[in-house]
Amino acid sequence: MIDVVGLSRSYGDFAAVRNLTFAVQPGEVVGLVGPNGAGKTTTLRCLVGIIRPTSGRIRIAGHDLLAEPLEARAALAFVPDEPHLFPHLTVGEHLSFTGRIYGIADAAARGEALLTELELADRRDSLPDELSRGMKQKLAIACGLLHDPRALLLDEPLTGLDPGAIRRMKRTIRDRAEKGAAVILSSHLLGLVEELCSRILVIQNGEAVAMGTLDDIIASRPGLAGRGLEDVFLALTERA
Amino acid sequence: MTRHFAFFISRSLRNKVSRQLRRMRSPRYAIAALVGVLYFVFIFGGWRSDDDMGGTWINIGQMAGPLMLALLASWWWLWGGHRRGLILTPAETHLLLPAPLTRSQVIRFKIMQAQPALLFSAFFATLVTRGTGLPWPLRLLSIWVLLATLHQHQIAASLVHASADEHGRRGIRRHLVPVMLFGAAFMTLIVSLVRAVADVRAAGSLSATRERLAGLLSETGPRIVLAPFRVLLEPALATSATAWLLPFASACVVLVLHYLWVIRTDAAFEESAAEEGEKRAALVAAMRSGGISRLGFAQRDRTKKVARPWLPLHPTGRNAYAIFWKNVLYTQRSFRSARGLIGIMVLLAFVISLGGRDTGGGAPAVIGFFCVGVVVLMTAFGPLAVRNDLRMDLRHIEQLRTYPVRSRDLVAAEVAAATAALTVPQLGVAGIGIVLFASAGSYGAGQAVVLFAGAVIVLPVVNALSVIIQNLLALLYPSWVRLGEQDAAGMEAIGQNMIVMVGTVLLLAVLAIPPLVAGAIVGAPLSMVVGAGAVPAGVLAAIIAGAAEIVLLVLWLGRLYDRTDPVAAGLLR
Repeated sequence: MIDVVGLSRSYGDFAAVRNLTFAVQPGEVVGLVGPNGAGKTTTLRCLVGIIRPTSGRIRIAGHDLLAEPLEARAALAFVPDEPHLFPHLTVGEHLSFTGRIYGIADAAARGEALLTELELADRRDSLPDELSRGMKQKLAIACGLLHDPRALLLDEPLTGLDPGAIRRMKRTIRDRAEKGAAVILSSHLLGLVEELCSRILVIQNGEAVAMGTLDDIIASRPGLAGRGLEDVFLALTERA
Repeated sequence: MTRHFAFFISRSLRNKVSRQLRRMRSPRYAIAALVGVLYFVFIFGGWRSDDDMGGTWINIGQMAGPLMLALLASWWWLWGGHRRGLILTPAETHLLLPAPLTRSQVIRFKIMQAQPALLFSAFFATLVTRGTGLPWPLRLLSIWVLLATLHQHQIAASLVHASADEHGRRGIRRHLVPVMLFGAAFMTLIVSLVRAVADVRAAGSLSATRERLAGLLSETGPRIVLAPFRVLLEPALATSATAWLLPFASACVVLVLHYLWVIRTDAAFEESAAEEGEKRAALVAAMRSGGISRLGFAQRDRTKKVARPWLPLHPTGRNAYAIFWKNVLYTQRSFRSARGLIGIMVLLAFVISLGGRDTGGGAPAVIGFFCVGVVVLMTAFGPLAVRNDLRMDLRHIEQLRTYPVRSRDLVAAEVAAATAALTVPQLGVAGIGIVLFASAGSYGAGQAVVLFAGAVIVLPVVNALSVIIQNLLALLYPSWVRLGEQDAAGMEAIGQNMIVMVGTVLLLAVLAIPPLVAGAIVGAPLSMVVGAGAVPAGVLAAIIAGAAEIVLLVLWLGRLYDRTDPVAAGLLR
């Protein structure tokens, strides 16, 4: 579903992402972890077409992101860490707008269901500056999920959410994966990653330092036996 | 504590200046700063004789100065201007209010903090008012005392209002005295001004008008009202050092009294100051990112329900239409001050009518001329002010880039939205002007229809080209055009604006060539056969050429948008 081969991205002499190769299958949730400045956000931005890779190939739902950008983008959704909302559109209008962008005939019904699921139904007529940080995040998530994306990329999706919303969001991510979406979840909340993700991609200085299930990663490094993700993460990134 | 405040203020100033200087390493900022300095030198350099301007400034200062200051003070006391007297930025709210500082210490900090800006303004005003005969250091000192007193007076108004809010009914009684005093003063001035308007029309010449106005303002009522403001202005308007000394001492006494007043007033200003600071921060961000239209949106009344969109949005159809719909909705919700705009138009029409008695055609023709002027101004400056296009949306590039919308369609929708936002009101004003000219007998109904039809065809093309230029500059040189929350300031901001304006004019001139050539090729030979009848054909050819240009430019902009690297362009970090 998400195929990445030799992805690199440089800014002048600085290589933000170096030769990343990985794939995320339908139904799989992959955790993208790494310390600050490791290249996670750059990787995600390349994967959704916000920035062009310096080299490498990205395929989303079978469509090459550079050769068939519209088809690839129609199949994906990206929820950035900072919700990008249009200040003059109400909650309901954000969903109508997104529905038209993706050509969803039953956008109104789907939007209602999402607003109810994310507890935003009574804020339908509110503008973004009348919403709390968490509500903004929920709205950004609702817009991302409206077109039922086959590839879902989430950058710190739980920031600002209350405990109830975090629980619902985790369920939503699992549900989407069970329905066949390929999910990439970037987060510093290692507990969340450990709980939700079937595989983990650890990057450091733009390079993949480990990829696989937690057991795989530990198995390839006998010194980490019996440790949790946090210890594994620190051992991998501090060493690198 | 004063020492700590001084350290904080001087260090903040130093950091700000050093950050601006560091930016000069980048050629684009260095060039912009150079252009800004040249502009400054050109405007305030020695291109005008000192003596001429000095006399003019003294005349203006003596007659209009006290009046302006009185109206300003009335605004502070009567119409909410006091809210800007004491503003705590969000950072100050978080750092100063929880700190073990008394209210008077916080006020002292705000007074100290304002001094560099007041000194800069005084320096600026000193440069402008050259040639009054008073040595410049004394003039600088006088203007600084004037500005500092006004600043503290505004703080005092703010504190009195805060105290009134704090003490409920008792506070309203406290508040009533200054408000009634300023209300009475304001009414006195307004009555004099209304009387003056009638006399000014009869005066005939500018000097007679001035004398009449001066006479009215020196009558007992206005004289008493304006006296305190004359005391403040007198030192700055003195023509020699000896004439300056005593008035300056009086002004200093007023300043000291104001200082004691504000320092000793114990009013709970914190909440309103913090709230105003937040509002101001939002407005500054709005102005930086979206220009006038976004400012209007940020200032909207949050208690009112948002208006329903003018345009419908169906779930299916061309997806780029959603971008157009969104941006038109933005304009709709930003257009807050319709009443204010109408007020300005009526006022301007009135002002024009004062001197427009010989234009022929009476009031309709005068207002018609005014409408034409508005259309011309909107054509020239509208594309800079109306920014509901890529200039606004590039801040959302992280979202836009993920949409399955063809780049050229997206650009077309962005340009179309800004063009529509500009053209629709323009056509409204043009239509009013054309009808008024027709009613004044300048031409018949048939010609009026032809003129309006011409406007309907020509204005969208001209506007679209201008909007495209702005979007082109935004994509090619994002650092030159105000996008997002960039904090260009000072000389470099002046320089950037100058460069963008000059670039816009040059590009528009270049883009005007193909339509003009097309119009000439079609119109010139035809004119030999049908005379003036060839004009519509020539205009039509020019419009078609212009429309073709628009299509080609939109295609090019689409490719540019695709190639724009948001990180390299500074749109994303």
